[in-house]
Order: sequence, then structure tokens, then C-alpha cells
Amino acid sequence: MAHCSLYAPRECGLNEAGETNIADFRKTEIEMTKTTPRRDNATTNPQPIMIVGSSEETRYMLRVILEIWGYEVLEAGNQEESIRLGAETNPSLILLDTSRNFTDGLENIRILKRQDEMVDIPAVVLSGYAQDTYREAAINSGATAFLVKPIDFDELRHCVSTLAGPKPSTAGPGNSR
Amino acid sequence: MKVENNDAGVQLFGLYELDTAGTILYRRPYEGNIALAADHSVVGENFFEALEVSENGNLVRNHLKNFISSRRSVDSFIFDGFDETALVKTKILMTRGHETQGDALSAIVIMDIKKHNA
Repeated sequence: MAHCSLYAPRECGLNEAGETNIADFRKTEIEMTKTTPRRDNATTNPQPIMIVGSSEETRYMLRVILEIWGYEVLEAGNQEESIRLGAETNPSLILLDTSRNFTDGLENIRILKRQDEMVDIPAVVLSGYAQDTYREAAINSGATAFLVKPIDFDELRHCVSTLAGPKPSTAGPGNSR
Repeated sequence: MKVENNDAGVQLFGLYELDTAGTILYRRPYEGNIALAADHSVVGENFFEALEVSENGNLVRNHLKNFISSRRSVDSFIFDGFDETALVKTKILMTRGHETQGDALSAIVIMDIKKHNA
């Protein structure tokens, strides 16, 4: 059983080993009934990262940044597309932007996590809301990590690297860790 | 409205990471839609000076300034820019975030500048 910090403002809730960080809790801790999803082949994973979200511009900018970091990226603009792409490509990580509709975004995660092919794929939620209730709702919906926008690129890079596997490129934003 | 390249031939099209003052932290030029290797020659220079954003420099500068002070996480706008001698529709797509610089967390903007295919 893993613990997940809901209050780790400069961390995505993961420690260096890719486990949820239970240190320095300032408020609530949530016990999760499953271990932190991290792919077994996370250190060498050639699988793509799937960006899900209804904002084409946000998906594009995330894609550009992830590609600079050396990742292969797929985009899904809606729930149906994310289910289909996820089943077809077995992504290493799901990056879900909820800026247009937080509730729909969480529903998308819940549905993805019900798919046999995606039950173990870690999911990172990007939200414009920093309040604890949103963070908690995201984790309870199956998110592995919760990042608040505007994005801290060091934090995003750390999260992606930990969950999907590091890439050799140190170029671009978020290279100070 | 136009944005020109400078005499040194620094092409406008590319991906940029800027700080809020417009200092270039990272640049990756585009050739067509292909991203080339990172160009470090203009890192540390001011975006508006290095690329000599001329007649509409203030327009782009104001867009950037407004975006930084807004709550939007992504923004875009289209203007007439120069590709060598031809006038082409140019799109700037911006997102903002933070990054650690030294001991401080600094605001940054990522700008993607490409020919606009309507």
C-alpha cells in the first residue's frame, strides 16, 4: 500500500525512486490501495507519452517540450481518442490537461484506468487549480501525480523522467535538476 | 505589420525559451517545419534585439507582456512576418511556466514561431 502526498508543492509527489513521497507532509495523507504505477521498463522505455486534452494549443506546446526532451509523443483530443490510442500504443505515461474542464478530465482518467491495457500506466494531471480538493480528487480518480499550471518545467521533467524513463537530452526548459 | 530578421541572418522561426524580460534562454530554429539543432549563439541576448523585431516590435512585446501578466496558460496570435523577402503569415504560440534558476523559481515563456498555414 502506497502513500501519496497531496501537499508537495515543489515535488510531484514522487521521490527519486519513483515512489510517492511521504516525507514532509504538511497536511493530509491519503493511503492508496495500489502501489505507485511505474512501468517496469521505465529506465529504457521507448514507448510514447500520450497527451490528452481538449485544448489543441496546450497539447501542441506540451508535445514540443517533450520532444525537445527526447520523448516520442502522441496526442488525443478527446476521451474516445485517448482510449483508442492508449489501447493501440501502450504509452509509458498519460499526461492529462484538465484546464478546460476539470471534471471531464478526471472522468477521462477513471475510464482510461478501467481499460485492461491502461490500468498500470501512470497518469499525470495538469490543472489550473491548486486547491487541495482538486489535488485530492485527481489522485482519487487514479492520477499518479498532480501538477499545477503554470507548469514548473523542472517539476514536469522530473515527473516524466521518473515515470516514463529518463532521456539523454538535457536541452530546453526544465534542466536545472 | 511585419517582423524582420536582423542583418546577422538570425531567422525568426523557431522555438524559444525566454525569461519575462525577453532574454533568450534557449533557441531551436525551424527550417520549414523541421526543428534544427539548438542554437546557442543568441542565448543571453534580448529576443527583440537579437531578432530585430522592427515595425511591430511593440505589438509582439505587448502581447508577450500581457500574456505573462495574464492567467492564461497558452496564447497565440498571427501577424505578417518576413521569410527572407516574402511576407508570410506567422503564428506565435506561447505557454508560460516556471523553472529553477540558481536558487530562485523564475517565470519563463516558451514561444513557438512558425509560418501559419491557414
